[in-house]
Amino acid sequence: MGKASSLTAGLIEPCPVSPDSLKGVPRQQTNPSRWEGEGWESFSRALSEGGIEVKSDRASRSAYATDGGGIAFGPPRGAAIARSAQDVSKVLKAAQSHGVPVTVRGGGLTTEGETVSYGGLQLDMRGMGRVLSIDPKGLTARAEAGIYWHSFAETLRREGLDYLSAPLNMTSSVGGTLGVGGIDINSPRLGCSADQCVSMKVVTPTGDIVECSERENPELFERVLLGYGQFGVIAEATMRIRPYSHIRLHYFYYSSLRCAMEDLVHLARQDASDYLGILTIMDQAVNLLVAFDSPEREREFFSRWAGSLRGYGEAGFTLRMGARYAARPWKFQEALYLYNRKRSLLPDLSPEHHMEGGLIADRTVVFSRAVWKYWGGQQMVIPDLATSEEKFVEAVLRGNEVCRKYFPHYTLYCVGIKLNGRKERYEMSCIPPDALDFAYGCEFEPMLEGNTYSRDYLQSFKNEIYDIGVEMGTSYYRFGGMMKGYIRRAFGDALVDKHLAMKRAADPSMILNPYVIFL
Amino acid sequence: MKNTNYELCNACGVCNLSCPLWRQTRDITITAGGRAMAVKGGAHMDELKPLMKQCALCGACGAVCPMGVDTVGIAIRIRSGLDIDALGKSMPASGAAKKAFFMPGIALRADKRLLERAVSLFGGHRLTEDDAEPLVAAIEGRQELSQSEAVKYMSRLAESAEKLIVAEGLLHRIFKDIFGEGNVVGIGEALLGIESVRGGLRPDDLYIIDSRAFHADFKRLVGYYDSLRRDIGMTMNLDLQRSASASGAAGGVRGIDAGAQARWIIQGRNFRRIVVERVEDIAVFKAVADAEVVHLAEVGGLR
Repeated sequence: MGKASSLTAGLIEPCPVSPDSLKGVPRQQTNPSRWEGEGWESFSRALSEGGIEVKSDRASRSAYATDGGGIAFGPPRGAAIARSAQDVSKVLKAAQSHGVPVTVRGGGLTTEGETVSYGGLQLDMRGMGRVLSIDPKGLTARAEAGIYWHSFAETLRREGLDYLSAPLNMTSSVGGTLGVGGIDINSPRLGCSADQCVSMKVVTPTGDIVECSERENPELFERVLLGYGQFGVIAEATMRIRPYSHIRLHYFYYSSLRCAMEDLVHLARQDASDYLGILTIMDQAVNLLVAFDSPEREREFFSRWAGSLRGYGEAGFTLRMGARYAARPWKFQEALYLYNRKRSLLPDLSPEHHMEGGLIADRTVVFSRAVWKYWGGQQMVIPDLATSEEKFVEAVLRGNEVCRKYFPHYTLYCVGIKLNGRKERYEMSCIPPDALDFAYGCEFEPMLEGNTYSRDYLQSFKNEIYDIGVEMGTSYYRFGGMMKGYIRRAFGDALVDKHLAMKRAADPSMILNPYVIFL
Repeated sequence: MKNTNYELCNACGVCNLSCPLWRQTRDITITAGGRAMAVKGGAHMDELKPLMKQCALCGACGAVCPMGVDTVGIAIRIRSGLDIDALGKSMPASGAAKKAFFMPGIALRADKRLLERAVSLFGGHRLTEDDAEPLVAAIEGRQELSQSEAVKYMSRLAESAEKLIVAEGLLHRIFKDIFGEGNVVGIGEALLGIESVRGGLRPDDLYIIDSRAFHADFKRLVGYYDSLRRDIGMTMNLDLQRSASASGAAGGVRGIDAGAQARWIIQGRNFRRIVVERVEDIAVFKAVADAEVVHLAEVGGLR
């Protein structure tokens, strides 16, 4: 691969201008020359001879032109659907040989173009979407990694079972999530999805099919989990599962973001609830969400911890807010926005056909549909910060100020992540290096509401959030794709070069997901 | 107002979760979401027509779309070339005395025993002379029909019909535009309104809702069938999103293995009898389930 030879020869040299920065600060070059088509004909012929169809008609290519963020645009030269680990192996072997980049996609819900091909081959893993086995006694299930979490849940539910944690959007894939983390509102108790993985079948960048776990090929296991798709393609995964339960949900309302976050940290430390998170409408209506899988846990919460919370019930909070805005008539528009937002959103969080005796049935469907309906859009901009417990409140308060500066309306979504010691997989991941028992994350999501914002404006907003992370020494959930300019600044050259060396060893032609982290 | 623009799609992929074609093919390009992404990525609508052939037109995608994209309307437009929303606007003003009709659909009309039973249950409804087959065939992409021919057919029906029980769910959205929301019901809802039929349902039934009719009026019917489920205690072919999984047995559908889809629908569910709203589902479920399979019209006694 001609363009890559300069990269394999030594370190990637810093460049004074980065296309993702408007501030003129010297940064790592993030956008070197992309692949321009060399080797494509022989590559696609090799795949075709191997029984793998490569679609290159416009409709097929256009279907993969962007990702969930809707900002990065880069259709593939061709697209192929993986139906087996052997298919993936053939693709990667041919890609190594012919020097063609391969970008892997599961749900495609990245926001920074991490699953956008910019030419090359798009390998769609959703062709591998079956649940292979369920062990109801051992509480594990093995699935092909291209399966949507929701589809995983559909099959598990027929046996009265459920997965542990998954992103709240239904259409992330298991494999994609394991490469990034997988944060749910029960992550303060159960950790991230990647930590719930027992074993995997991985196809390495050179096409070897390898079983790995903490006991078998542990180095590969630790590299691929939270590895942003750099060290292999996950073909199958065995995940821990649990018996399914409806949930009992309660809200506590705050007008102080600081108080809500402090209470969240306190509850997470005490293991006081099964589900815990913060969702805000700007920083005026801060909702601490607490939920339970069982009446026993619910009773214990109300007897031991509820009284110490500084939030209010809905009625009390409404009165306080009414008084607040009555004394500030110039904020009438803001009050109206909050009122209308609450009026439309709250019923969708407890739709009648998902309620069973006051409990929410299939809570991921309910929450996910609300997420898409109220926060989805043609463009999705969701910068985030992932911090240790000590830095959490300050980081979010600073990020909140950035949101206020850029957008009239926005949402913050905060959640904790229980950690199981310091695992090797956490190195250069969304788990901050100084986090011990818990990490905390906050997503800062502007409500674009049909308004048109330039890419520059949105990028400036993201940069200001991420600059907080650099200053405070945090990590991020999304640090690839268009945000990879922050990787060296956040993690330091030594760590990044260590991982780059591992990447080069594993992927000699640098063809697997090349534009996500290192190129 | 129906959203008819693929550009509203936000690429969430939620439509795939309930799509029987997606379930079996895993090919994004032949799903509603894939088509929307293709259009947004630069493909022309004409390029989508070959990709539409296998769509079951079950309507699940449109029912679950959080952005309200009218996936079924767009699909019908691409497949048939018909502007079905314009059909209702071109109907003549009412004049002569109108009656209540029952349009049983081709499959039910062919089953004389079941048809007789249904007609008896529906009392004052006259049987239509035909089942709008040219219109259904056009929507399913099996034959051509011009807009003027479609208008002509609907005008004849509009002159004499006031209320309709229509078995073919694909026609509901067109008929409701013409005859009014409350004047068109599906065969399932019509039969469930009969006490002896509803009373014949059992907690150990697996009830197969006709997906086309259900999704044509999803916001209302999701609550209706949820109440039915709670009242009787039976299970239904509803997925976790509460959309009705289609078997794919409905006429003109290519690309779906109805048997495989039916096996998925019954997987892990406990039942002693299967009750179907759609006649075509009887044979499909009989082939895969070790249980009695009956049409809803056979449940309970005659009035």
